[in-house]
Amino acid sequence: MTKLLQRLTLAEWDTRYAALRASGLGEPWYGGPLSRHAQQGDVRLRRLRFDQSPAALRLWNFVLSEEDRLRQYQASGKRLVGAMKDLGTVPVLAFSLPSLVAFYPDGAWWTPCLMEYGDGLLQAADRLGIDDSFCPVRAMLGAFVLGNRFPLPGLLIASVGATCDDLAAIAQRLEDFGHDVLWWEMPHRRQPDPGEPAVELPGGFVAAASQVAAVRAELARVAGALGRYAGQELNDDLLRRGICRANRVRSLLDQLRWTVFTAPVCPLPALEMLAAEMLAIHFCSDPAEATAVLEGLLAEVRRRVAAGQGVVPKDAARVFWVNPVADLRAMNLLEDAGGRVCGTEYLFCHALDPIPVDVPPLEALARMALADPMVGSPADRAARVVRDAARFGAEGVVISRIPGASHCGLEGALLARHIRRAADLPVLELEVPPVLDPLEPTLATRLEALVETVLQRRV
Amino acid sequence: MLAIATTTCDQMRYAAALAAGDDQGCTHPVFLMNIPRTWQTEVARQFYRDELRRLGRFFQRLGGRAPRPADLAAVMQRYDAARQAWRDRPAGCSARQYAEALAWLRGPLEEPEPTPPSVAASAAHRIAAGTHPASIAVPADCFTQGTSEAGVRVALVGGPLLHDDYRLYDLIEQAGARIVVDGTEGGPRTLPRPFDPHAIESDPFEELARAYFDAFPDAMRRPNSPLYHWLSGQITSQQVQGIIVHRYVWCDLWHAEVARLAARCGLPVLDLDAAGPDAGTWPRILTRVEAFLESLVPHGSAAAATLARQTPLP
Repeated sequence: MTKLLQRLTLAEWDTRYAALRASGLGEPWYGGPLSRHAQQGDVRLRRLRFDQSPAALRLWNFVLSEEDRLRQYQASGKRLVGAMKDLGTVPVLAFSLPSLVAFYPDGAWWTPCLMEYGDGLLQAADRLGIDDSFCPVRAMLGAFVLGNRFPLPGLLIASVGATCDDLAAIAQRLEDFGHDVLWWEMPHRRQPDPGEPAVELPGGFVAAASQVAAVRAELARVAGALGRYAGQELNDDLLRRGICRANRVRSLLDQLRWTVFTAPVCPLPALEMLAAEMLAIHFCSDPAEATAVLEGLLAEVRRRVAAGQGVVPKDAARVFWVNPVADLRAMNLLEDAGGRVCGTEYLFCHALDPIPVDVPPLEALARMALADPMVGSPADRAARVVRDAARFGAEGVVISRIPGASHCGLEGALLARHIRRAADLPVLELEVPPVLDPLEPTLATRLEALVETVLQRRV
Repeated sequence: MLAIATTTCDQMRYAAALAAGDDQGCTHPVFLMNIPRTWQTEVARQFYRDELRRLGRFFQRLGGRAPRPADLAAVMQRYDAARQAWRDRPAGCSARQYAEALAWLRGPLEEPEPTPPSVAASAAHRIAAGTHPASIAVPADCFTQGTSEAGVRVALVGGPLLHDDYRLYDLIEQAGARIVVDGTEGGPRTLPRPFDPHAIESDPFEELARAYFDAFPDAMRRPNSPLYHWLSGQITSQQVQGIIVHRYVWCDLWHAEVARLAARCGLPVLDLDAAGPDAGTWPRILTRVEAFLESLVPHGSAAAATLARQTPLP
């Protein structure tokens, strides 16, 4: 019989934390009770429910302490690199140089959620004419202007092209405030023409060889800038080691995703899985610790699977989730509605697939960068969703739009059409704002309807 | 039917996917041309060249033939000569007439090297008659009004204007302004630079790519500083008093520039958001334009009196 592991509120976690500490729980330097993050402003945590394992505690403390970690790095003489938009490529390059630390300033898009708008970031963006017709990544502009979130990086690198107009428009504004940006071109990935040399990319997409070569040249330019910034040439040996380290994280995530998504009873909540997957894109600024956090989660999940333990009932509807949500609470809502996440495509599957090691490192990274689901066609992306949904046994798909995001409006409808046609799966398209509370009844009802549809189809 | 789209914005990119209808088994040829956003590197320029060549192969697959260099050079020279007459807006030509002429220049030139007045007349006549490829449904009299030399001097800036939205030119000028700079996508801002005759002779394709790719300043480029260099020069030379930005509500790229235009150019800016063809929006736009122009004109001035005479009653 399945034993359900209760998800805990923040207050319940405090009680559990005290008990764990009393029983000898050891923690890294960034450890502590989760409620301290809420006391420091991340009040959204009070509305979330968390996994009860020490491994999850470590995950959350790791994720929520990143800004402290960045300040410590800066104080210790490390040089910060702000990567924007590419979601997984530039950090592999940057972390290959020992004196550099990379992070994503666009990660500030979750701050308005975590602080329930109390951060003032969106208001600061409003004052600069970047209003709520833009996606919540506009919080990044507020963070740069207010300067009170992350330490300002000395080098900013943004991919542009077939990426995201919101980010490109907002990052351009940074230059007005004295933050020069190194722009590198990311072309729209296209199918090779008849007879044109082609390259298979990680994850199965295909691109014209000329496009891979162009991206490789751009990454060489980025590598040159990183080397100059670090005062050390970024050579192939360093890059190979960096790729190897990234692949270790990707391998752990692959095992974690497979174990969680295919387990008969879901062993880890969707919320923690979302946070864990995010470690792939820049290792939360600490590759070694990210590896340790994932190893802890994987061990916990395997233990639970062996013990038949889970966090939602066995008959929960198996849902594939497309796009990251602006409000983390949406992941709780799915489970409250009777669903579980069995497969995800959070716009960075290219950061999850193994980076090739049988080709020169820049070629490998160019192939990986071009495998970004956002830079290709909706048909490509839908095909990947369909393939992964089948692999994980998903019975329905949620496409969550990001409000204001220029790439979401048309793409959501196109993805839904492709998926319905190719996989005969029910698809729910919805939009999740940074704080979903006013829409919670509507979103909950729609998720419940999807779950009911899935359950009826079983009959 | 075939469609050619570019990757200059997210909407275009996804609209191309929609037009291709590849999920529904449709077979309309759709070509999505990659236009690099970056422009300062040889990689970007080479990428643009490669895309031009790919476009050529696309046409060949549909039955076209590759031009000989001499043929390409001849076509380039023909267009270059036609453009030369319209680099600057001729005196007496309204903003709309100028926009129509530039649209005509970008179409299939059917007449050999026209002169500006005849082109204007010809284009106006053909558009009014509905026989021009770029024809739109507009009152014929809007091509005979010409334009007043008086009025507030404004720059109209923004992305592309749909044909139905060309009415905006008339509306602004009828409200008492003179559009002395057309910085919309269809205006002279995006014309290629004049071709170098020697370069055409030695390598017309290379000259074609450079004349287009290196020349156009636009909001979508990264960095987009050339847009501001261009605009700054125009504002000074044309003594612009105010800027009207026309943007579609789904266009983040131009929307994000509105505040920058005000800050960088130091001029009053009117942000006109539009949602495509909808007759119901014109009264709102007219009111906003009128209010903007009133704010630019000191009360009691001669310009204010002119404005009062020219502004149509609601």
